[in-house]
Amino acid sequence: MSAVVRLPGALFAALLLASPAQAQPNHVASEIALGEWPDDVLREDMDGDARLDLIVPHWSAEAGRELLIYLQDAGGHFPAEPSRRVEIKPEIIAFALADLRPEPGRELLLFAGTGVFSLSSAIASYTDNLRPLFDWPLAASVPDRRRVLYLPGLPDMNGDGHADLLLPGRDDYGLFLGGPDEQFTLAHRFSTINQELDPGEVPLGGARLDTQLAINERQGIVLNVRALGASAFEGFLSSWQDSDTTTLLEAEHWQPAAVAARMNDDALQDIVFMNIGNDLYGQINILQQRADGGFAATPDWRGPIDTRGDIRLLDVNGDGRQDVLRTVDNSNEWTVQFYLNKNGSFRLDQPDQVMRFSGYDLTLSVTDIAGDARPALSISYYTIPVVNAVRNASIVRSQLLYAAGSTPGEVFSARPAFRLDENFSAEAVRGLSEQIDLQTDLDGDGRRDAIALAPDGTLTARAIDAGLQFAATPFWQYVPTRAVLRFDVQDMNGDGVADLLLYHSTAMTLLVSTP
Amino acid sequence: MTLLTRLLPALLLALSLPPMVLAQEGDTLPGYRSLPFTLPADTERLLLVDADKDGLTDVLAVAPSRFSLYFQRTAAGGGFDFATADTAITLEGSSIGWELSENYPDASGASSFSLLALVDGNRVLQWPIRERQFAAPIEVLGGLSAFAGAGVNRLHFSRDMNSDGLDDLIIPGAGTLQFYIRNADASYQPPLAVQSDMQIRTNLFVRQGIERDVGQALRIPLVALRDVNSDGRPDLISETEERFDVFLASGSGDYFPQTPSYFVDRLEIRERLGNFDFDQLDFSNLTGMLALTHEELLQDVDGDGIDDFVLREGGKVSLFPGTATGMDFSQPRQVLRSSGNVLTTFLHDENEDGRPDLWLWRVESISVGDLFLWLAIAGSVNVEAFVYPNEGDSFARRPSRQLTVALKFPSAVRMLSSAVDIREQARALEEATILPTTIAQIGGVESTRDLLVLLEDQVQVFMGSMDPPPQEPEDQFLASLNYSRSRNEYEIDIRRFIDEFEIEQNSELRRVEGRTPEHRLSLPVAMRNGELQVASLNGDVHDDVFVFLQRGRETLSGLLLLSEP
Repeated sequence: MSAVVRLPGALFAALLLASPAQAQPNHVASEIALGEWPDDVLREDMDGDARLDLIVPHWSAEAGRELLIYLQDAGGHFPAEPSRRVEIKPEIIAFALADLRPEPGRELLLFAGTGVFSLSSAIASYTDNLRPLFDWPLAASVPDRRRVLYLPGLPDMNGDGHADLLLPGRDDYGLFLGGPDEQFTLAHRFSTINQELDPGEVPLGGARLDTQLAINERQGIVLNVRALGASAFEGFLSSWQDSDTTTLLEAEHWQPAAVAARMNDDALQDIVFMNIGNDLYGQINILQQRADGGFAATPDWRGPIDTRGDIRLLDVNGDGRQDVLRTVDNSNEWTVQFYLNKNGSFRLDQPDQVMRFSGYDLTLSVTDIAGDARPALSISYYTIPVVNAVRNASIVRSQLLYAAGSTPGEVFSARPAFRLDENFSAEAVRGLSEQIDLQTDLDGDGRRDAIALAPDGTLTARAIDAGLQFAATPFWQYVPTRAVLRFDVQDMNGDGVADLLLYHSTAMTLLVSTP
Repeated sequence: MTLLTRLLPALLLALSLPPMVLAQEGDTLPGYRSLPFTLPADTERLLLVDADKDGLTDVLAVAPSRFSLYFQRTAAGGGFDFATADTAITLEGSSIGWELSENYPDASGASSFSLLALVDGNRVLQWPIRERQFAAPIEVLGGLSAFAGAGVNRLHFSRDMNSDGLDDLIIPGAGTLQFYIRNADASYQPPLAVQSDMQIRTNLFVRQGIERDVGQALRIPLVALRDVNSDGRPDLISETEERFDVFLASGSGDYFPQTPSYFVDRLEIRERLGNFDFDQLDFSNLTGMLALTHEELLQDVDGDGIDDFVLREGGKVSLFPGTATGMDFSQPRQVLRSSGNVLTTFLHDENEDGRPDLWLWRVESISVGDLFLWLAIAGSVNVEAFVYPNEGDSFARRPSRQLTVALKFPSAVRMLSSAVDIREQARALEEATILPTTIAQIGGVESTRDLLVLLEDQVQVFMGSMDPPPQEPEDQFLASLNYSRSRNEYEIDIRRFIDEFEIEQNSELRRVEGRTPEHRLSLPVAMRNGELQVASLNGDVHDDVFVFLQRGRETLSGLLLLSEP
C-alpha cells in the first residue's frame, strides 16, 4: 500500500524544535512499497527534470525481473504506483544508469554475458529502444533468475562529462571511455593478476582445514578439524563414476578487483588494484592516467602491503586524493593504520598514523563537519559491560569524533574531541537499528549535523559545534508512525534542503521539502 | 601447547633422516611400478574412466578446451605412456560444459564411450571413442539457448532419467532447467522446462575495499528423480523458493507432462501466513516469528508405497494422501495444530513399528531481553519434540512422547573471543609444517590400512598402521544426542565444542610416532605443494597412488605408483 500525505506546514514546523535563523521547510510525505531488496533502492533523475526519482528492483512469478520507477513530481510527491516499469530480460546480468542519449533523463546500461546495451526507460518496450553498444565477455556469465545486479557510480575517468566503464572481463579488465551518441571506446586493457609470477610460486593461502562433524554414541557430536598441507592439486584427481548426483554445475572464477580513483595531483581518475607481488606478499598497484588519457602497460607504482584485515581507499585528509586505510580486528581490539597518498605513491612499510580501539563492530568514517576540507574521524563501536547486561540487559554504543591533526605528520588528533556513550536496553532496541549519521547539513547552517534514531525510535538531529561537540538537545525531531530500520538523507529535489528517506519493514517514507 | 606439538618438529625431522632400523628403499614399492609423468601446466584435472571398456581404468586429462586420453595398456608391461596422449581433441568455444557417458551410440550405432559437450550454449556435440581414438563429432541436439558458465566446466547434464538405458539431457537456461528425454530413434521429446534456484554469487564492482575480488561463483542443483507413486518409473520433483512441483512419469507418450501433476504454491502459502513486519514483532517472543514459516515433506506415511504430503504452516500440520495419479489436495486427511513456536517437523519411526511417526519440534519463547543478556552471560534454550505415532492412515491426535533438548551456549562475548582463538590457531598453521599424507591399501590385506607420507624428496610407507574407519549411525541427529527410547531429557552443550576445539596437525603422523617406515621411495624431483591421492586403476586388491609433486609455469609433474597384478 502506498499513500501520499502532505504534512501541514504547521505540523512539521512543530517538529522542528529550535532552528535558529533557519527557514523551517514544509515537507511532503510519500510512501512507497519496498521490494524484496530494500538496500537496492536507487535514486536517479530518470526523466531529466533535475529531481531524483526512485528505482525499485522487483521480481514476481508473473512478470519476472523488473525495475519499478517512481517519478517525483514538481511538488515533491512520489506516486503510489510505479510511473514506469522496465522489464529485465532473462539474459541480463547487471545494469547501470547513465545519461547516454540526447533525450532528458538517464538511460539504462544493460550488461549481458557477452555484450553491453542501452535502453531508455521512457519507452515502454525493447523494440526500437534497445541498442547494442559493444561486445565484452563479462566476468559473470550467468544471470540470476530473480535479481539483477546494479553497477553504481560510473566514473568519468577523463573529465569529459561522459560516463566511462571499468569492466571486469573473463580474464582481464577493460576501460571503455564514453563519448557522444552512446559511443564507447576500449581505451585500455589490463590484467589485475601478476603475470610475472610462476604459478608454482603463488602462495596457496597456508594450510587447508578439513572439518568433519563426527557422530558417535559415546561422545555425541564431535567436531574434528584437521589441518591439511597447502596443495596445488586439491580436487585434481577424481573418478568419473563418483560424480556428484546433486549438482548439475559448479564453477567459479574470480580475479582481483580494480577501482577507479584519483591518486595523484592531476584531476584525472587513475586505476588501483591489489594482487600478489613477485616477493609473494600482497601489493598495491597504481595505473596512473596520463595527460593524453592513456595508461602504461604495467603499473606506474607498486608497493607491498600486509594483506591481513580490510584494506580500502579513502580520502582521510581532504586533499582530494585517495589514501589507504588498513583495519585489523581481533575480536574487540581494532588497529587502524592510515597511509597517506604522496602524489601517487605510498610508504606502505610505515603507516602515517596508527590508532587503536577497543569494542565490537567498529565502524569508521571520515566527515568534513565544518566544510573546511579538514575532515574529522568518526568512530563508533559497542561495548558490553557485564554488569549492565546482567542488571538491565543493556549494551553501550560509543560515538567518538577526532579532529583533523594539528601537528605535522598527524592525520587525526590522538585524543577524541568528542565522546558520546549511550546505553541501550532491550526496551530501547529501536534506537540501535542505524548508526548516527554525520554526513548531512540538515538545517543548512554550513555545518554537518548528527542525525540519529533515539532509543524510542524518534529521528532526531543535533547540531555539532566547532569543537565537534554535539548539542545537548536536538534542534529537530520526527516521530515516525512506524519503526525506522534505516534512513538516508539526500537532497531529492535540488532545492538545497536535505530530504529524508525512512526505510520501514515493508515500505519507505520519503519526506521531501517544499517551499 | 601440548607435549606432542612441541615434539612434532623433531618427529618430522626424524622422518626425513635415514632410519635407525633398515627400511626397504628404492624408486618404487614392492609389487608396484613407478610411472613418472609430466603434463602441461594448464591441466586442470585428471578424471579416471574406463574409456575403452577393457576393465582397466584410463586417465582423461582436462585442460582449457583440450581433452587428452591416456589408455592403460593391456599388453606386456601394461601401465601408461604419459609421454604422449593416445588421443586428444580441442574444443572451440567460449562456454563449454562437458560430460562423459557410456549410453550413446556412435555413428555405426554401436554403444560407445563418449565425450559430450554443450558448446556455447547452443548445441550438444558427442565425440565417441572408437578404436581408442576420439571420432568425429556428432551433433546430438541443436538450436538451444543455454547458460553453462564461461570457460570449460564439468556439467552433469547427460543422465538416464527414465531408466531406459539411454542418456537424456538436462540443459540449464536462465533460471530454468530444460529436460530432454531421448527416444530410441535418437530424437528427443518436447523439452520440459522447470524453474531452478541456482546459487549465484556475483561481484562486478568494488567501491573502496580493494582486497576484494570480482567474478562469479555458480552452483546449479539437480532436481530430484525418484518414484513417488510406486509405478516403478522415476518421477521428477522440483523445488524452488516459489513452488514445489511434482511431475509424475507416464508409461505412454511423453515421459513427463508439460505441467506438474501436482504442486504446492509456496508464495501463496507465505502470503497466507503473512510477511515479516518489524512493527508487528513481539519483542517478548521473537521466536513467535516461526509462525510465518512453512515446510513441505513428501514421504509415504500410510505405507501404501505412494508418497503422501505433509504440509506445516506455522503450528498447523496437514496430511494429504498421495494417489497413483497425483495428490488429493481437496481435503486434508488430518490436521494437527500445535501451540507454541513450532521450529520444524520430520518423519522418523520412533516406536520401531516400521512406520514413520511425526516429530514436531517446538522452541521456547526468546525475548530481546534474553538476547541482550546472552551477549554477556551464557544461556540455554529448551527445544521440545512431540512425537505423534503413526496409526496407519494418519497420526495419533495426541503425542505419545515428549522429549526435551537443552541447548546450552556461552555468551556472545565468549564466542567472539573463541572465534579469535580459532582464527589464531588457523593463522599459526601458516607457519606450521604439515606433511601430505594418505591412507591406502598397499599391502592388499583388506582389513589393514597403510599410511603414506609425502616428504620433499621421498614417500614413506607405514604398513598396517591405520585403524579401520568407524561405522556411521543411521540417524546422525538422534545418535548425536545418544538417543534412546527410555530417555526424554537431552543436552547439547556448545560450550564443550568451544572448550575442546583444537585444529589437529599431522594427526596420522602421531599414530606412527617412533615407528620406522617399512618402505621409502625416492622421488625424481622435489615435491612442492604436492599431494598424494589414491585410486583403483587395475581392479586388483592393491590401491594405486598418484604422487603429485609440483606445478610450474610450463609443466606439472608427478609419479604414479601402479600395482602389478
